[in-house]
Amino acid sequence: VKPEVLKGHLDALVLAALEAEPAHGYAIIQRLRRRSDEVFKLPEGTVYPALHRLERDGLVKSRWTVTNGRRRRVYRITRSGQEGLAVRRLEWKTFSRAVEAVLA
Amino acid sequence: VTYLDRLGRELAAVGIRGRLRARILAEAADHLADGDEGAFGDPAELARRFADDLAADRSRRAAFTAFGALAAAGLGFAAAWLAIATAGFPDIASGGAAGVAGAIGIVAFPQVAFAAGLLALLRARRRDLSAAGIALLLTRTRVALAFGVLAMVSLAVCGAAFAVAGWILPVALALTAPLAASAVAVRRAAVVKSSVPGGAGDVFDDLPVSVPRRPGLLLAATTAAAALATLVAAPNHEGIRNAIVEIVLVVGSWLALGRRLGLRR
Repeated sequence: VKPEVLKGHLDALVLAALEAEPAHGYAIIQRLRRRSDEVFKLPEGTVYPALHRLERDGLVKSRWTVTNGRRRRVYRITRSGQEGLAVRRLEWKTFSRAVEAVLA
Repeated sequence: VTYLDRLGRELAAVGIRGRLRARILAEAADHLADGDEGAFGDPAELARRFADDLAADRSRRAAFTAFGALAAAGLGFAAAWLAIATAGFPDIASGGAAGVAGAIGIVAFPQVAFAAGLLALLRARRRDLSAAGIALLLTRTRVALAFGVLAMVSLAVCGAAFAVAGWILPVALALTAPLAASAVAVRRAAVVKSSVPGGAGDVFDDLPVSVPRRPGLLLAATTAAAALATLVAAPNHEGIRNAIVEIVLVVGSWLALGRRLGLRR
């Protein structure tokens, strides 16, 4: 899947990747790959503008943590983020059903 | 030259500096300790993505902040106007040249500030801003703030020249501080360079309802509304004089600032 196809959905995908537990950028990319059966192979850096955007909008929060002497920025979804994700899920279901109905 | 050096340069080139740039570089360094540079993406493209988001976000926030500062200034202005009206409007000539200039200023400048601020607010609600659209938003915000400061200075001049209420001068000067602080936010937003393609559009693109794209009609309606409001406020000889002043003011502002504020193309 070309990265530009995912562009409009990246925020929702990142929120979904953070839904279960907090993670740093690299782990988010790995989760997206694993959960999409390696279909989503974004340029890895693109997850960071999305994370910063989501943080500015209050949908995720982040803080530096130190693990084994290594500083990592860990992101977690907020309550607003969970609500936003639920809305995006509903929109996606409606959209995908409509596309499927037309393409089928 | 390392990948992080190139990313740092590209971030600086799009106006992302200081703590944010350091944070992005630290996150990239952490990521690259596990992943590889090729998979991380082109530094210029990555910097561009950060800048596109940040420029729009900062510009929108700066516009909201500015409108908040203008609203606070407006409240102070209204209180001062009420105090002057309660004491009885002084003879405009009694304040000398400064008084006349201040009196003209307190009539004209707040209206331009309010109109430009409202236009900025309308645009700031949009989330689909191109680089040109952001430039227009920042211009509207700057004009609103500049005329807001001029309005408060005019009020301070009136307070000093006519000596109607002692508190007007210090309050007017104090209320310029939030306006100046908002100007800093605008300047900070303008540093970040968006590259999102597209035209700037105009007021008709910003309105929440669809109206015919006829700038002349918009000017006529605005002028008529301003003149009518003046006549309703004072339905006498003075009201007619004030309505003429309003018509001159609205048309003059339109001619001087209409294109710059995206009221006409």
